[in-house]
This record gives sequence, C-alpha cells and structure tokens, in this order.
Amino acid sequence: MEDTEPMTLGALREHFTRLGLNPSDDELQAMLQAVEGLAQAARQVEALLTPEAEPGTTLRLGE
Amino acid sequence: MADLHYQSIAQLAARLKAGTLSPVELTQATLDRIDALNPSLHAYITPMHEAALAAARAAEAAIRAGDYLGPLHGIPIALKDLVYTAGVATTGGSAIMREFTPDYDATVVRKLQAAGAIIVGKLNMHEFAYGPTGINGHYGTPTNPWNAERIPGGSSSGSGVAVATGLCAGALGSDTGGSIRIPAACCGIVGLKPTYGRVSRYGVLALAWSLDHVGPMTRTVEDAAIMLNALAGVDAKDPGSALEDAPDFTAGLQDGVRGLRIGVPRDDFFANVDPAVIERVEAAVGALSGLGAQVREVSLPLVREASAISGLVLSAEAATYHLPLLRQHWDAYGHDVRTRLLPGFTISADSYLNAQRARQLFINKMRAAFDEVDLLLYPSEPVVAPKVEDRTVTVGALTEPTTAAMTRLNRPGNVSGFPAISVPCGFVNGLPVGLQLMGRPWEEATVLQAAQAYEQATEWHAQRPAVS
Repeated sequence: MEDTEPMTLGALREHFTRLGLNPSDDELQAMLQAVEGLAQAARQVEALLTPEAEPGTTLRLGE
Repeated sequence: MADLHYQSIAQLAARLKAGTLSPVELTQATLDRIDALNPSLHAYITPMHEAALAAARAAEAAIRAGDYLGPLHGIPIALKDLVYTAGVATTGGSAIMREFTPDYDATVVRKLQAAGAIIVGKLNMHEFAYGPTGINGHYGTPTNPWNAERIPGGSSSGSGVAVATGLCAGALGSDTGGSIRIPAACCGIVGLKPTYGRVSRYGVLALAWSLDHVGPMTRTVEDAAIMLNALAGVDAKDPGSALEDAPDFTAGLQDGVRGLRIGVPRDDFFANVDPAVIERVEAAVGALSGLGAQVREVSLPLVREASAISGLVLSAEAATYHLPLLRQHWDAYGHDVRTRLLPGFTISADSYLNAQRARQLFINKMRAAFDEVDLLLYPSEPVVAPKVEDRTVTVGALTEPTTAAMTRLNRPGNVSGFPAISVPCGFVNGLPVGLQLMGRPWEEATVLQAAQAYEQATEWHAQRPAVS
C-alpha cells in the first residue's frame, strides 16, 4: 500500500480481497478516515527521520 | 468476613503467616463475594471455585507445616482472561475463543502459583484487549463501581473492577496502550506497567508484540511491589524478556521522596486535560514537594509524535496477529474491534519500520530527559471515566474519540517501554482521578518508592465504592 496518497474505496476493496477479507461497503467507507489518520501518522513519523537517524528497530532497554 | 474483602495483600499475608486466618477461609469468602456481586458487576468471566479451594487447602496445609512461601501464599489473585490457564477457558474477552482451553499455564501463572497465590478466576476485558473503554458485548461490560453509567476503563476492565470491589486481593492486567493504567485510574486503584521485558508474556494472548506488557493491579502500592516480586524475571520462552536482575521491589518502599527529582511535563501532558483533573494532580505535586521531592518543570521532545508511532506500530502488529482469526471468524468479532483492526492492514512495511526507527529516537529523547530527573509526573487520564455511551470526549476546544482521549497520556509509556504506575489522587464528581509516575527503565523500585510516599501521605487509596 502507498501511504502518501489518499486511499480510494476501490483500492481498499482490492487490498482486502487480496488478504482474503471481505469488509462491507459500509465498513470500507467508515474505515477511510482511520486509514487517512494512519497515513498522516506515517508522514509525521517519516519527517522525523534522516539517513543519519538511529536505525534501530529492536526495543532494547538494558543488558 | 466483611473485613477481609478490602484488606491489602500485605495485611492478609500477616494474618495468614501468623495462622490467625486460613487460606481456605479467605478463599471461600472471596468466592462467596464473587457469587454475590459478579452478576451485577460482570468482573469475572470464569470464577474458579474448585481449583481455588483445592489450592487453598494445599496452602493451608503447607503453612501449618511451616512451609510458608511468602506474602502471596494463600492470597486470592485473579487473571485477566488473556492469560493462559491449563484446563480453564481463556477467552480473551472474545466470543471466538469462548471454548478455548489451553493445555499449559502462562509463565506468570506458574510464578504466582510458585509464590503460593490462589488463582480465583479469569477476569473480563475489552475483546482481545483492543480498546480502552472495557465495553464488552460478549460477556457484559464490567460495571464501574463508582458510577454504573461510566466506563470501567480498559482493556483490563474486569481487573480494575474486581480489585476495586474486593472480589480479589490483586489481579493481573496487560498494557499495550494504557490497558493497566486506564482501568486503574477509572476504578480508583493502583496499576503498574513494568519496564518492557521485565515480566514474561509467554502464554499471554498478544495484542502488539513490541508494545505488550503484563503487570499487577492492586489496592495499594506495597501490594503492587509484592506482586511484581513474584512476576519479574527472565523467561527464555518470551523473546521480549530481558536479562535484567530483579531486585526486591519492596525493599525501598519506605525510603520516601526526599531528594528525588520529579519532572512535571506541563506543556506536553497537561494540555487538553480537564481543569478539575489538573487541580487534583497539582495537589499531588504539592504533596510530593512537601514530602521533600525536588519538583521541576520539564519538556519532552517528540512526546506528541509518540501517539503517531504507537498508532502505526500497534495497528500493524494487531492486524498481523489477527489476520488468520479474521479470515475464519469474521462475523464473531465485535464490531468495534473489527473496525479498529482493519485499518492496520493498510500500513506499509516502510511505514511500520520507520515508526520503529522513530521509536528509538523517542526513547533516546526520553533517556536524555531522565538525565535531569528521576521521575516524571502527569495525569493518568485527561478526564474522569466517560459515560458508557460517549463516543467522543471534549476538553476545552478539543473533541476527540474516547479511545484517543483515554490512551493519549499512556502511549508514551508503551512506546518507550519505561515503567509507569497509576495511583489514586482524588475524585472529581465522585469519580476517581489517577496520578501517573514514570521512571527510568528497570527502575520500578523508584517509581514504587515515590508512589508509596504519596499514597501514605493521603487517604485516596482507602476510599471504597458503595457496592452491594
């Protein structure tokens, strides 16, 4: 999925079909706002990162 | 027997050790109270009468024989119903798992039993732990004992209600975005989210692997320390378990706060919080200052981004975990949980990994903040428990979904993995207010020490709801 462009209902439907899931049109419609919220979150997070930024993806607090 | 229900684990332990109270007597009294009140409170999904009484009889014989195991020996403890119990249904608060009976115990169950605890039952929860309200259409929503029109908080809703109403002496909860601290605040009890990796999650249903924590919910800070003593420790069966030594968490409880540096992040954690809640929290700041703590204002860079990081990581991991179940049991999911799960499938790999990278930046900033202070102090919730039917919460000019409001101040603890506790700090309109203290990783002892000092200087933890 591409996070930087708004999702369309058709793209969402196709995505879930590939996953083997079959949400109703009402559910897909209701989902659009949350999907856009996650896309915004992804952009917000990406803006924090630079090539030099900490690359760690494992939570290690001690040892 | 009425005097037993609200006694602390420490108080009960003293009587059990001295032989003036028997584990069978205490367990039976607890089961009787569950039978009397659970039909209206919906705190338990599965009480464990026979197993509890058998364990109590064994504990009684052991104590009489001089084999006293410590302060959990003979104590009635209940488990959020996502903790695996061999031979006992573990539903996850879901209709899908109504008939699921594990064939092994979670590590935390084995640890509690090794400490002599009596497991009295399995507690209600938000379905699959995916929601902060505790509303559950499958097993009935646990009743907030302070006001039945209000949510109990979730996802460890049954744990919060059972501890607050004396239906057990302590309980286990789990916390991925606040699910221990939210019901603790809403129900007026103590809830401790330990450091990520401190307590094993082996045999505990996952919500989001890199954010999930298991911890104690109790009526006093000392009781939380007692339970953490039993729960903490490395477990090779949990890949998130850390090789950190676990100290005696009760050892420094009476050391007070004199000289401790407490940071108050007003810019970041007090914005869009009900002024009446702020008033209670500021009173707590004053109380701790009066006890000798050095209180200072602090700023926490990136704390606002923590919600974005948490949202991406939690949504992606929860969706991934649930995909096989969704394919098989689509219609058996509660509508609210399914609706929350589906957007997670739209998160790309690069967005998920960027969120984990940004998470490390956030942790670095948090570590730096803790160079200047020993603890952070802020409200557990921006509001007291909302009404069950409320879908949004409004504070000042901000209206946000109830889910967002209830998790907003808690997510930084999960994203960082740092330990955090919610303790009662007063009431607004008859509903409890929670005070949150966060510490450095592996420094639960400092968190508990400060929470204990505050608790002992106030009477909020001793308030009881009117239940009958």
